[in-house]
Amino acid sequence: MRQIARRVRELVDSGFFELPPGISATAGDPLAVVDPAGALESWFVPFTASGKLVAWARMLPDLTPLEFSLLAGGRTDLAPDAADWLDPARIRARISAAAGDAASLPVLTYDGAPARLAWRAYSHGGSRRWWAAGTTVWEDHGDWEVTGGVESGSRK
Amino acid sequence: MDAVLKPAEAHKLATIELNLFNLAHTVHGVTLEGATIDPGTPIFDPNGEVLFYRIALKRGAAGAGYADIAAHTLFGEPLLATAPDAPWDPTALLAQARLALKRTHPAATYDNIRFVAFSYPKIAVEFLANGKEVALLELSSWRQVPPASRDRKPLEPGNFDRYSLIDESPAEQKREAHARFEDRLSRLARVQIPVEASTISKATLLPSIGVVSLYDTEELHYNKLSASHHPCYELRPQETSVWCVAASVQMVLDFYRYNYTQTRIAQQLGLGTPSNPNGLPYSRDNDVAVALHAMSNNSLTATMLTTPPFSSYVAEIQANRPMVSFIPGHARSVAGYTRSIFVILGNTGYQGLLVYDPWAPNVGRITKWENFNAQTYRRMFTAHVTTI
Repeated sequence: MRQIARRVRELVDSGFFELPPGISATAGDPLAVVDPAGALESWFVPFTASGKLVAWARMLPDLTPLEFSLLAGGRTDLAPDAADWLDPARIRARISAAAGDAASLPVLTYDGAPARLAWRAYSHGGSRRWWAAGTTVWEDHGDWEVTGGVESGSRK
Repeated sequence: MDAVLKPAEAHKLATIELNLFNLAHTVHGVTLEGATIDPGTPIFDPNGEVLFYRIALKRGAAGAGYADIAAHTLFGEPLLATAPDAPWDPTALLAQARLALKRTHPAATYDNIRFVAFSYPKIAVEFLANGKEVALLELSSWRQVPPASRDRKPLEPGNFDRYSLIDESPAEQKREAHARFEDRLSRLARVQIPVEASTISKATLLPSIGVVSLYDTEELHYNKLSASHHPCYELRPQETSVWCVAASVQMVLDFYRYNYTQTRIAQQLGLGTPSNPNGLPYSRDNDVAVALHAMSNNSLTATMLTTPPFSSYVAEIQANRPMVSFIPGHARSVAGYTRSIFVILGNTGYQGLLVYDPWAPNVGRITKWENFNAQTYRRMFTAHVTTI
């Protein structure tokens, strides 16, 4: 984990990862992103400023940079609250509210495509699976051969 | 420029390319830092011209592998290969070759000896007397390479045939490679390096080149004049958790000033409503091209490409056109690229895309850069204005 943090710092210092001008964000501790089977897929490094999640970096376990993304296109005013993405307790509470049942501890993973980064949790004794990406929460109805997935309640 | 490089030119190119390789690989984890560059050994084509130089790399007295630098523009790139762990000691190899010749051709006499890429990149040692070949012994195995076979197509040698890469490469291919080589040299001309430098070191390059200038980078802008460059592409986050396709199409249509709501685009694509949305089934991928065409009132000509290579993205961006890109289960828009300005056989260097990603819902993100080599690209939808 320290190696990941160090490599991200190097990439920021070199200009390879570039924050918008005038934004001085702090890189947080790397969080593990797991694949659907629970294996480590990548490391997620959040960049926060004034309580907002302004950017994130993702690194492969071998330190290869996977992506560096500016949330809301780099507009801090539109960036999500950091806690909506980084605070498991808040994420769990949000999922529990949507599920109407106490959700399990959320795990950082992705919904279908690795680019669709999201937290996953279960409710109703593990029989229902939920996703949360920031303030958006939806229920998973299984794997579909679609680009984008199927929103909760839309299954016909 | 001539198609054949002089030894001094090749050595200078090697110095620059290997320093760039070393510097760029601070990102990728391989280093040649501290290695010194020996003068190159000429490796001849069977037609007698120098084909490339094999340059031994050393750390102190110890070997640090070798690098091959083109002596001929037919390769299209100066740096052909690096082999950090492979030894290259031409003096020792020639000594072994002489011993092998004594065994296989005890009566042979010769007045010249040289390395020949008898079937590039396979190398042999050639013994000559009065300019005529006495023996051609494959490196290490020391087997005699048979005479050239006349009964085969160009560039289709057998396992142990000799052939001339220079003579058999098609003229058109050589012209294209020559142009690429010249383009590469013009990019390298930006790199200032001491002429006498023979050590690979980040310190050699860093005073004169920033990390950013190691990359060829381009983003969408208002027109193709670099002097008036101004980015002109906007992020549209997906308005439901499954409308990545609608949001990606919206970004491209917005670029061409066809402003629709995401709900309207979703309707066109059959993606439901905000309260009852769905994604686009794989079997209907081409609906994106149809929608781009229809929603521009037939002004945009849209095309769907399958598993597009990086060069397709580069070509579209250089034409100043955004694209919709499908990866498994998700859609985004692409508005730029970056790539290392060097290309090495077997190692394309870093290739990245500037991705306008509608995920996360109602937020979106601009990814700069997405590692092209770590992603699966399923479809690409290009769109260009139909002109008369």
